[in-house]
Amino acid sequence: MIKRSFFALSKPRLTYDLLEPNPDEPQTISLPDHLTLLLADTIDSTRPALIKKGDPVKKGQKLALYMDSTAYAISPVAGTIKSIENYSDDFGKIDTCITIAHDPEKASDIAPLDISEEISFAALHLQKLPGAPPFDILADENFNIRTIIITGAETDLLTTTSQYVTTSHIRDLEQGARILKQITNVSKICIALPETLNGNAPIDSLQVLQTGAVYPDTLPAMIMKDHLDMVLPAGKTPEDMGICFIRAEAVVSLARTFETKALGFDKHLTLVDKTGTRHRIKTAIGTPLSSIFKHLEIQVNDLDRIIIGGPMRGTAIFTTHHPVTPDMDTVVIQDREILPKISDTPCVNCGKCIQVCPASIQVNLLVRFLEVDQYEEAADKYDLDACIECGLCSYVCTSQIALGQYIRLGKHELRKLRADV
Amino acid sequence: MNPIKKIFELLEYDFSDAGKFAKLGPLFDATKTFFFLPSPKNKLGPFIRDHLDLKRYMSIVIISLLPVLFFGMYNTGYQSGLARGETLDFWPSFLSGAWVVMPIIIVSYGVGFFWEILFAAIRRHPISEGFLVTGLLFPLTLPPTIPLWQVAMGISFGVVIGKEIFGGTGRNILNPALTARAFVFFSYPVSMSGNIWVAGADAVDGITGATALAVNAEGGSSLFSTLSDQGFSLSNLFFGFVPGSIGETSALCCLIGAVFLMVTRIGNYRIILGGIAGLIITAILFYFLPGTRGTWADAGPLYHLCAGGFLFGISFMATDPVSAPGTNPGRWIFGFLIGFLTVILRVANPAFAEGVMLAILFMNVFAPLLDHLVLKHRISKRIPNV
Repeated sequence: MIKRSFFALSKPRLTYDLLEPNPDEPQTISLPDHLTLLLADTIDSTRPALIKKGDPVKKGQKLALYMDSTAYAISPVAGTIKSIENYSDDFGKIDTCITIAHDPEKASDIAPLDISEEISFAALHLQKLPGAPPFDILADENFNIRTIIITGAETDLLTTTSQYVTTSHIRDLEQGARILKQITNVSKICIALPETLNGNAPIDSLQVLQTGAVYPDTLPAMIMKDHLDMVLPAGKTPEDMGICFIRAEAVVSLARTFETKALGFDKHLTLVDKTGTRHRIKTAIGTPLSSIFKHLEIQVNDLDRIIIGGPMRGTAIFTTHHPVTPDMDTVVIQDREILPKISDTPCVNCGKCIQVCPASIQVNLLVRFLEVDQYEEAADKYDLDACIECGLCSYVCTSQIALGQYIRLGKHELRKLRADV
Repeated sequence: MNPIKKIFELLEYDFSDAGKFAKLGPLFDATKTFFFLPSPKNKLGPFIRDHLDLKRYMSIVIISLLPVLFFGMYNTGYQSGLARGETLDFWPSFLSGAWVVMPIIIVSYGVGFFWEILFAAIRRHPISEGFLVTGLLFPLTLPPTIPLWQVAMGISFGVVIGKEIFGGTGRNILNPALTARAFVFFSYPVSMSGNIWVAGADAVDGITGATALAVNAEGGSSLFSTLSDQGFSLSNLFFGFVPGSIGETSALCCLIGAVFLMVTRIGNYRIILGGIAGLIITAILFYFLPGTRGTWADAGPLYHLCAGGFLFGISFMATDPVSAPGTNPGRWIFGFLIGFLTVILRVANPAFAEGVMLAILFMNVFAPLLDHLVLKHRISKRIPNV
C-alpha cells in the first residue's frame, strides 16, 4: 500500500492522496430498513426516559435520553424505535445506540424546524449535521473562539472526502462560511486546502491556507504551527487557544440547511476496499456499514479489519453493524492477510520514532514508562501530553511496538487519574 | 508450490503447541521467518506499518560488516604468509585466511544460537534477531589465532551474562559482543595480548609479532620511524595490512561500513562523529604535552585514528542503539567521551595497549546517566504550565 525507499536519507514521506482531476459523482446507497444512531450518553434505568422502545419518530426529530441530557441524535427517517441499547466504544466508554425501523410510508412525516440565525439554535439542533459541526464549542463562552479554520484538506491518508466536498460544493461552502461568520461573530475564517487543489477551487471570500502534501501537515496542531505561527502547548486543545476546526462538509451542510429550511442527512465518505480501490459514497447517517458493503458487493470475513477514520489515526470497530456517523469521513477494510504482525520485542532504542515525531517527543524513553503504567511520570518528564497523535511512531517502529496505541491509552488513563484527584 | 514452503508446512504441526517438538517452536519460527514474511497478526492499531523490522535492521548491520569481514579474511592469510616469510597473492591469502576465520565465526554463531534458542524455548518467546549481529561482531574483535574453545566460552558469556539475564535484546545494558570480548580478554590474556601471533593455529605457526599499539620507541627515536620500521606506516595502518584482530585492522573498511550505517540511518552519526572528534581533540592535546616523545602520547590524531580498533569500535560497537543513550545530545557526549577515554587508556595506562573496548563498555554503563542529565536539562528549560 505505502512503500518507502531502502536508503533512509530522509524521513518516510507519506503523502496525502489527492482528488482526481474529474471526480466521479458519489454512489448513493438507498435507505436501509433499520438505521442505527449513536448517542454519547449512558442509559440509566432509574431515571424517567424521554424515549422508549416502540415510540414513533418523525424525520428530523431530536432524540435525547433524559430531560437534562445535552447529547442528542437526530432521526434521519420516520419510523419506530426498535431498540435502545448500550454500546461500548473506544477504551470501554459506554454509549447508547438507538435502532430505528424505517417506515417508507411515513416519508412525509417531518419534524418542523424553526431556523434562527443564532449560535444557541445551531448548538441545539444542527450539531448532528453531516460533518459534525462543533457548534457546542462555538456556543461555549469559556472557549472564546477567535479563529475558525475549515478543513478542506484530508487529515489522514488514502481518503479524499474533504477535497471532494470542497471542490464540488464550492458555492455552498462560501455561503456556509458567511452564515458561520454571522452566527458566531468570529472575525477570522480561513480554509485549509492542499496546494495542488487550490487552482481547481477558486475561493474568493475566504483566506486560503495552503497545506503541504506530506503527512501530518494537515493535522490541527501542524496547521497552527505552519500557518498561524502558534505552537500548541502540551496538553492543550486548539479550542483552548481560541481556534476551532470545522469540516468543509459541515459548512456545506449548514448552508444547505439554511437554504432548504430542513436538516440534511446525506453523509459523504470514502471507502477503501481490500484491493485498495477507493469508492466515493453518499449515504444517510445511521446506515449500517453492512448495507454499504452489500451494495458494493464487498465480502467481509472473520478477522478482516474495518477501520474508521483512516490508516494512521483511525480506530478499528468490532461489528459491521456500526452505523455511518456524522463525523465519519473514511472507512478502510483490511484483509486479514495483510494486517501488520504483532510483536513483543522490547524497544531497541533505534531512534526512528524520534526522527519522525513532529512534536519532537523522546518516544523511545516515553514508551518505557507507558509499558509499566507510569503515566504521570511519562507526562511530567517525557512529554506525553505533547503528542498530537499522528501515529507516525508506530508506523516506523523497528521493534513493531504499537506506540500510538500505548500513547493513546496513556493519555486516556492520565485523564482518568487527573479527574479522580 | 515452493518446495521450501512445503517443508515448513509439513513440519508446522510438530512444532506447534500440540506437537512433539513444542519446546523448539521458537527455533522453527525463527527459521521460517528467515525465509518467509511472518504470519502473526495484530488486533489493535497500528493499521499500516513500515517495512523496516528488526530482522531487516540487523541485516543492514551485517551488510555494513562485509567489507571488514572480507578484508579481515584476506589480511589474516596475508599476514600469516608474511610471518612464514612468503608474500601471497590475493586468492591464496584470502582462502587461507578464510580457512582460519570461518571456524571462529561458525563456532560463535553456533554456540551463541544454542543459548539463544535455549532461552527462547524456556521463555516461550520468538528468537530475537539481535544475535545475528552479535554473533558476527564478536569474532571480528578476536585475533585469528584464538583457540576455538575460547571463542565458545566468550560468546556464551556475552550472550548469557551480557544479554539474556537482563531479558534479551533491547534490555541489555552492555554491548553483548564487547562483553564477550572483555571476558576473553581478561580470562585468557595470553591469547588476547599485544603479541597476537604467538599461539599455534596451523596457518600461523609459532611466529611472534606485536600490534601497532604495543610498540613504543626506545632510545629517543621518534615513534613514527619505529612504527614504520616494524611495518606500521600510516598507509599500512589505514589500509589495514598489519597484524591485529580480524576485523579491526583496516581503517578504510571500517569507514566504509560507518558511512553505510550513517547513510541508512541505522548507526547514529552523532555517536560516530562525536567519537572521532573526541579522539582527535584528545590526541592533539596529548601531542602538545611535553616529555612524551616516543610513546603513543606523541602519536597525534591520525595514528590514533588508524591504529588499533577505534574505528571498528566506534562504528559498529558504540552505535549499538540498545546500550547507547536515547537522546541526541546524550549521543554526542557518549561518542565524544568514548574517543576521549580511548586515548587516555592508550596513553596513560600501561596495562592496556588498546582502550576502545573498555571505553565503550564504560560509557555503556553511563548511557542512562547521560540520558537522565539531558532530560533534566530539558525539563529545567521548559516553561512551567502553571
